[in-house]
Amino acid sequence: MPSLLKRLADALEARTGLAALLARALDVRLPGGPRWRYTLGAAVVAMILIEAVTGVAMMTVYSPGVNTAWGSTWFLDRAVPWGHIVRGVHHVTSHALVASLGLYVGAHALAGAHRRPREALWLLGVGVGGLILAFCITGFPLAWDQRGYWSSRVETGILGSMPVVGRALQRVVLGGDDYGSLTLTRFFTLHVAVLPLALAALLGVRLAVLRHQGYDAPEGAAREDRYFPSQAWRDALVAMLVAVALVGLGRRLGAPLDAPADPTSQYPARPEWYFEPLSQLLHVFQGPRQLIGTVVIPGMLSAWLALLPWIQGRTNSPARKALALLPLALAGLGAVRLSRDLHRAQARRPFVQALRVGERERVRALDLARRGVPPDGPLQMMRHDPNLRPPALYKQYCGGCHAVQGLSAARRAPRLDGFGSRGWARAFTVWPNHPELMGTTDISDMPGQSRRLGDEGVAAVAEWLHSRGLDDAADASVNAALVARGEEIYRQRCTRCHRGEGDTTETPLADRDAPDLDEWGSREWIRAQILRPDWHHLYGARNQMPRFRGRLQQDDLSTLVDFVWALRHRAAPAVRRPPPRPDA
Amino acid sequence: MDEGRRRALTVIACGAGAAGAGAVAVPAAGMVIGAAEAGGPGRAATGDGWTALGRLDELPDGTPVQRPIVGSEGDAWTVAPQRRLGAVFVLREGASVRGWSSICPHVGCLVEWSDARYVCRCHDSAFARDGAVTSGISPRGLDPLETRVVDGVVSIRFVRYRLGVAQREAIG
Repeated sequence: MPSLLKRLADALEARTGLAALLARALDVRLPGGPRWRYTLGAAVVAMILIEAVTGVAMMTVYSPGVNTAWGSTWFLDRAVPWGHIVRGVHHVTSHALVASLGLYVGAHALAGAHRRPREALWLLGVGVGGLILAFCITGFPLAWDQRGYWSSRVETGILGSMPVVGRALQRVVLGGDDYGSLTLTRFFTLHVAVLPLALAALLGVRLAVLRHQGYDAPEGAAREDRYFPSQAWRDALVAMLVAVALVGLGRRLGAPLDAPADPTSQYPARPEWYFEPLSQLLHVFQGPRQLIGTVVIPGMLSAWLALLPWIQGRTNSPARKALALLPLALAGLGAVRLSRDLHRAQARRPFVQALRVGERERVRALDLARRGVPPDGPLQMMRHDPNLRPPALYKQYCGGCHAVQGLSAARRAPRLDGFGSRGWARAFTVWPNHPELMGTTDISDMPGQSRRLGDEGVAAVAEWLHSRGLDDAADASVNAALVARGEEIYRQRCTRCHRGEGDTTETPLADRDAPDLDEWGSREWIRAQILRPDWHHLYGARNQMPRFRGRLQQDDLSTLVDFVWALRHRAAPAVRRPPPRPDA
Repeated sequence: MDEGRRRALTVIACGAGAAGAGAVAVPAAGMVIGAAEAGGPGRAATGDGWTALGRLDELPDGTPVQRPIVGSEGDAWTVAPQRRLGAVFVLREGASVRGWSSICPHVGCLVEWSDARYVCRCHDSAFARDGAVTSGISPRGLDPLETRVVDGVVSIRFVRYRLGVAQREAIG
C-alpha cells in the first residue's frame, strides 16, 4: 500500500513538478538564521486568510440589498449554527489586522528596514495597509445597521468634501448622490471582489520582491539557515496561535448588530477606534477650514509615510531617523489626543441619551426579527411593531371617545382602563352614570345598584361579570362560589332590563338598550361591540357609538380586540361609593 | 541540520498549520452546512396550518374543486404575509370531505381535474379520483391532506411533501 501511494505520488510529480516547485519556494536563504521577529508577517497573512475564509462562508448567507442586508445578517448571526462565531471571528480579526499592520509598519520604520534598496517593499507594505483600511470602510456598512450606516455616511461625506474630484468620486462610490441600493451593492463588490483581488496582487508582488531581495542579514550575523523548516515552523506556530486566539475571541465577543439603518433617524454616528482621530479632526476644522482636517493633514501624513525611505535616505543614523520619524510620532500623539477629545464629547449627556435610544431600538429590532423580517425590509418591521401597533390603532379608532391612561383623556364614553375586570364591573354597578362611565352618553338611566344589592351582592355580580370574559372558564383567580352567587343575583334581579338567559324583558326588541351580559368582556363580546354596537343584544337603538364594520381590516380588528381585552389587567376607574342622592 | 531534527520541525510546521486552518475551517464549514438547519422564522410560518375553504353545502357533490392556499410564507429571515403557498383539491361526497394537495408528487407542477381524473400536464401523469396513480411517472399518488368540518365550514391542513420519492415525507 505505501509503495502504491509512493508510486502514485511519483507519477503525479513527474507530470506536474509541484513538489519541486514547493521545495524551491520554501528553500530561501535566511542570513542570520530564523527569528521570532519575522513571524509578525506570518501573523498578518494568517489574519488575511481568516478574513477570506470567514468572509466567503458568510457570503453563502448574506444578501446585499437595502431590504435584505440587515435581515440576512440577523439570520446569519442569530439563527444559523456557528454563524455567530464566524461573524465574530471576521469582526475581531479585522480589528486585529488593523492593529498588527500598524505594528508591522511601525516596527519596520523603527528598524530602518525601509531604506534603499527596500523602498519598493516599504511602498507595497503601506499599500497593503491602505487596502486593509479600505476593507474596513467598505465592510462596516454591509450589515446595513445604524452604526455601520451612519459611520459610513460620515466617511463618504469626507470623500465628497475633497476639492474638484470630490463630488464625482462620491457619486461613483455611492452610485448616486445619496445612499441607496447601489451604494450597498458597490460596497459589497469592493469588499468581496475588487479589494481582495487588489490585495492578492499586492501581496503576490511583495512576495516576489521579497524573494528577489532575500532576507536582510542583521549586522554581524554569521549563522546562515534556510526558511524551511527553521523559520517555517515558527511561522506556522504563530499563525496557529493567532487563529486559535482569534476564533476564541470572536466566539466570545461576537460582532455587534445594531438596529436596521434608518436614514430618517437621529443616530449618534461614531466611528471605529482607528477612525476616531480622523473623525475628531472634522470637529476641529469646521467651515471653510474643513479641508485641512479631511484632506490636507491625512494627505500629508500618508505622503510622509510613503516617502519615508527617501526622507530618511540611506543612513540609519539616530539623528536622521529621529528627523524622519518625528512628524509621525507627533501625529501619533495628536491622534491619541483627538481620540480622547472624541470620547469626552461622547460622554456628554445628549450623546449618551441618544445612545440609549439607539440601544432600545437595537433590542427591539433583534426581538422583532425573530418573528421574521417582511419582504419590504426591516424598517417596515420596525414601523409595524406589534407592540406599538395596538396603542396606535386604539388612539386612531377608540381614543376619540374612550379614555385610557396614557393614550386618551376623552370623556364621551366609558373609560376602558380595567374594562372586563371585577374592579370595572363593581364601579359600573355602583355608579353607572359616573362621568368616567356612561354618564356622558345618551344611555344614562341605569340606576346605581349598591342600595338594592348591598355591598356583597355587588361584589358577587362583579365577580361573575369578571369571570365572563376570561379565556379559561376554570381560571383559578376567580372565586367560584362568588361567581355562582353573582350569576344567581344577575338572573333574578337584573334581567328585567338586561337580555340573556332568564330575561323577563317586555320591551320590544328595537327599543332595548341594556346589553346581554352573558359573555361580557370576552373577546367575542368586544369584537361584536366594535363591529355592531347597535345590535339588539348590545346597546340597541339609543347607541351612539359608530359601527366599525367594514372600516377595520381583519388583522387590525383582531389586534384591537386583543388590546382592549388586555385592558382588564389595568386599574379600573376609582368609583367606590354610590352617587349622592339628588335630594340629599 | 540533522535529519531527525528536520523531520521533527517539519511535523511541527505542518501540524501547526493544519491546526490553525482547522480552527477556522470548522466554524466556517459548520456555518455553511448548518444554514439549512437554521432556526429563526424558518421556511414555514403558516400558523396552525388550517385553511378554511368555505361551507360544506356550497361544495359540489362528487366533483373535486381546486382551491388556492394562501398564508404567510417564511424563507430564511423573511416572512411574507398573504403569499400563495399552493393549491388543494377538495372532494365532497355527501357529508364526507376528502382533500389532496394539487402539487404533483413528481416534480411539483400543478395538477388539474379534467375528464374525471387528475392530470399533470408537465409529464402526463394521471391520477384516479382517490389520488392513486393510474398512468405516468409520478412516484406516488396525490398527497392526501387532513380535512375537518366545523359548524358546516370545511377546512384543510396544507402540508408540503418532498418531491420525486415514493415515500411521503413532510417538509417545512
